Amino acid sequence: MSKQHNSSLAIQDENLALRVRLAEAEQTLEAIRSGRVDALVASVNGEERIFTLEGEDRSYRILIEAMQQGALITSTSGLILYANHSFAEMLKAPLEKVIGSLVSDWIAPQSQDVLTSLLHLTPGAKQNSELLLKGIDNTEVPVLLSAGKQRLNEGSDQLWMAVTDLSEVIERKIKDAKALAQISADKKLAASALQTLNYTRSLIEASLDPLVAINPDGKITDVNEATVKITGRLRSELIGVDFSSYFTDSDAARSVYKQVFEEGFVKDFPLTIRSSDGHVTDVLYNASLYRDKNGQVMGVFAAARDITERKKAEMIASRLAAIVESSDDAILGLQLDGTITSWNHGAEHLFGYSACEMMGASNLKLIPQEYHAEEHHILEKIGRGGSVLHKDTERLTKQGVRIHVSLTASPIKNAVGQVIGVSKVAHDISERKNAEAEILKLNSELEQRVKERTLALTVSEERLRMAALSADIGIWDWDLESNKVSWDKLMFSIYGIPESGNSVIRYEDWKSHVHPDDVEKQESLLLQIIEKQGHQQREFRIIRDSDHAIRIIRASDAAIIGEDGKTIRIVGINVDTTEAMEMLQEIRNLNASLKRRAEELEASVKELDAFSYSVSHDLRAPLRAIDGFSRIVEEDYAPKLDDEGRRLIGVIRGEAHRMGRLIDDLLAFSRLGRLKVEPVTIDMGMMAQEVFHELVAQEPGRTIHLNLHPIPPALGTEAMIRQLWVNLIGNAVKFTMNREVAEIEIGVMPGEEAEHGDELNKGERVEKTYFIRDNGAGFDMRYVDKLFGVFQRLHSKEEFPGTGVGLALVQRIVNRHGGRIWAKGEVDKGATFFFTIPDNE
Amino acid sequence: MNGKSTDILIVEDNANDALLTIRSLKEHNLANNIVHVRDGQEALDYLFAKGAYSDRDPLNLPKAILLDLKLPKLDGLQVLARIRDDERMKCVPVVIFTSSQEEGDLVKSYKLGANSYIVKPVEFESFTAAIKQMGLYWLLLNKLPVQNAKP
Repeated sequence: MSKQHNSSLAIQDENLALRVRLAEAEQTLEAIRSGRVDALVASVNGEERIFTLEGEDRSYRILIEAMQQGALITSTSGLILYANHSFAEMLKAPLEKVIGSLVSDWIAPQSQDVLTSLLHLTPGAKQNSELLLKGIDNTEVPVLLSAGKQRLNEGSDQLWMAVTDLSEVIERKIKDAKALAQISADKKLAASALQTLNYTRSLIEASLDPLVAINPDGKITDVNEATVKITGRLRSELIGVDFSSYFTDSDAARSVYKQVFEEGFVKDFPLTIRSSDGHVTDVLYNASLYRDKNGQVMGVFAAARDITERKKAEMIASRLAAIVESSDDAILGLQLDGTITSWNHGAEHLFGYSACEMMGASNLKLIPQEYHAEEHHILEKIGRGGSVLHKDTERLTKQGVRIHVSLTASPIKNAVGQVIGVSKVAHDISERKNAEAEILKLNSELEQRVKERTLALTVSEERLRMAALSADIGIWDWDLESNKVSWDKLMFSIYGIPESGNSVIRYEDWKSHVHPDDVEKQESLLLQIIEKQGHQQREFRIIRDSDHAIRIIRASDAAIIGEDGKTIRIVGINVDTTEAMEMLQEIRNLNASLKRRAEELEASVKELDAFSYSVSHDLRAPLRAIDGFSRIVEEDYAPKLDDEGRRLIGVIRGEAHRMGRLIDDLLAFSRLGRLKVEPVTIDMGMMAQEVFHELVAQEPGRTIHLNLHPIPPALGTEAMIRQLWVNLIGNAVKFTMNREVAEIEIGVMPGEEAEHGDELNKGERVEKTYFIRDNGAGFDMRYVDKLFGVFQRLHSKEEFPGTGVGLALVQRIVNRHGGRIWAKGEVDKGATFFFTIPDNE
Repeated sequence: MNGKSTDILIVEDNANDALLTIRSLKEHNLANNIVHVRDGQEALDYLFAKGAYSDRDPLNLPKAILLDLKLPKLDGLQVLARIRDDERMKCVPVVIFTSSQEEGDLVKSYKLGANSYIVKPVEFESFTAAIKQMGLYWLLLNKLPVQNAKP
């Protein structure tokens, strides 16, 4: 039978796996028997309690529960602590009634003796007995009971029992006994018919089964070659020896022998032969009495059949069947034409068809149209003895749903190796397929995103790099694990170190360039950021490698955090700020000196204030005295003075008056520098008109024409602008005094005409340029530079009175408003003054 | 001077200016009893009847005070502040008569309670004209509360 299964490699593997599991199971069973599995029972307060096997022992329990044999554990008093379902089934009783009951309750009266002997076994001993169980309905069940006693750790004893139902065996024995009686009769005929012993002898020797003849004393009288082989002893060693000594269980052997004598035969009695080298062979014993012609019993003729292989094969087959049945995979058997011959649970589950529906149906029912050709090929290949492993294909369920399966197909061969069918295993891989599709989709999406992101990163990194490069920012990256620091080109140039091949330095290399006085602080700052994370800024000095110059470095650090939340890298920048710091220092110095200058200036302005104050007081007082006392002399001493005397006094007084005006104008001029500019919008046309009328009112008898064009307003300080008009119009009035008709024109210059010489960039800014023109004495353009100087006069005071301060004052007013003033003139042809007042001052 | 009520107190350190002022006042018969002091401290001593003037009747107050600003010891503004600080003298008219045309001096004077501010003209005619008008107004036209003008 095993031959039928070992044709496929896959099944062989499964066989192997099964054997291992079997071995494990046997060990487990032994463990339970020997009491090493202690979860079954425990003594609590002197009472015995039953605990089910759970947790890691669960697998053993399942195994025991799955056994066809009954299994039970009892106390030495026969209290059932544990029993499996099979045992309960033998008794036809519910398990809960069995557990906790006395084992003696379940033994037929005639077998109670056997039980008693079992309960009194010595610890470590085992015993096999046949006895009758008594079911709950009082039916008797013949069983083979193997029992043993174990001593538990705490010193109490426990019995384990394995119970095999012998009902079927016994039924068969009875049947066979009848048949054997017939055979036995036939044998007698044969014996008489066959004349030559040799023939019989050779037949016996040819038998593959060990044959033994035993006399009524139990001594072996004859053996065949098969017996020699199975016992490993010489023929001479065997003959004359008690037969029972060759069995593992001599008592059982003797009891069988006895049975033969009692019943005339024994059929398929299981015994185990032990060979001289210790090898044991399971055999089924068939034996019958043989008699002489007179019917006198001569002995027993026994034939043993080696059932080792069969036992194993049966076990494996049943295991395999169980596995096939319990498998989640669909496992089906087919004829070579595709007709289904077997259908497991997995197939039912996967395809939705029950076994009834599918047995005898065509496999093609499960296969989508487009795979029919493929199926044809598979069957063909199997027919030639080939196999198909893990082929991904599609199948149809009863509901018409397509499912993905991984298919393995192997040939089923008969004993002579002829392919008689196909076994197929279909594993549902729909979920895997879906997952694969999902993964593929995700992968492609991810790849696309990575591509886009990489591109964006490359661009932005490049941009950053360019920015850093052009801003002289060095970039570094310190890997804390390797303690290596990656530097970009600029870092090397900042530290004056030749660039290394891989742009990597050690942390210590950096440290060695930091100014010794700064190392400690910088290291503590770095430790701080590793711990606290985030970012920070530092400033420290380095000693540049190339020229040993001390440079000031400004650094920014940022911590990069790993998956475990710890800092794994520090990245940052370095900027050499030495020059910037020097420049800053220079600017500070400049500012300081500027401040000093401003303070000095303020001090001198104050001095000037004090000076003008004292001028206004102290210089005028003597003038007043000169004038006053000259007048008193004139009045009080008039009779004593001649005309010349009076004239000279007049000169003294005139000069005193002029000096008074000089002082007044000078004070006005200095005061202007200290006045605040508070601009308001001034209607220039109206102001010029008013000033003109005031001045003309003081010139009775003169004819003065004013041609006032519309002029735009200006932004200025009212008092100052009024003074400006007073002085300019006043000048025009004064210098036209010799004209019969004085002509004064006031207006603004249109656009570019207004530009004054080369001093300005034409068109750079267009300003309103006011002008005032007269037809008076004019001036020589050679002396235009002196026109606006203080106390500078281009005419004698006899020609035109004045102190020479008026135009200086006008220029100062224009300048204070941010504007410019200039003049054009020609002797005797009049003069034109131009000025600008910017709006944005 | 004792016994007679003072018409005007001239506070002036410049002897020439004082002489010209007094001459103008007399020429126009504007004041009979003119008192001239030469610095700020002397002015206060006179007004509060202290020091050299301790035998003077402090109730005899002048009809007007002509006060220069630039003075030795205490200057004109300090004197003005002390006058206006005294309840009794609060109502005495004070005319600032100075060479200063500084805006700051003008503002400070009026804020301290000056009644008038006249800049001394340089020309003698203007000067005498100014004194004449000042005298006419403050000594003749101006009316004072009774307690002020009491002997």
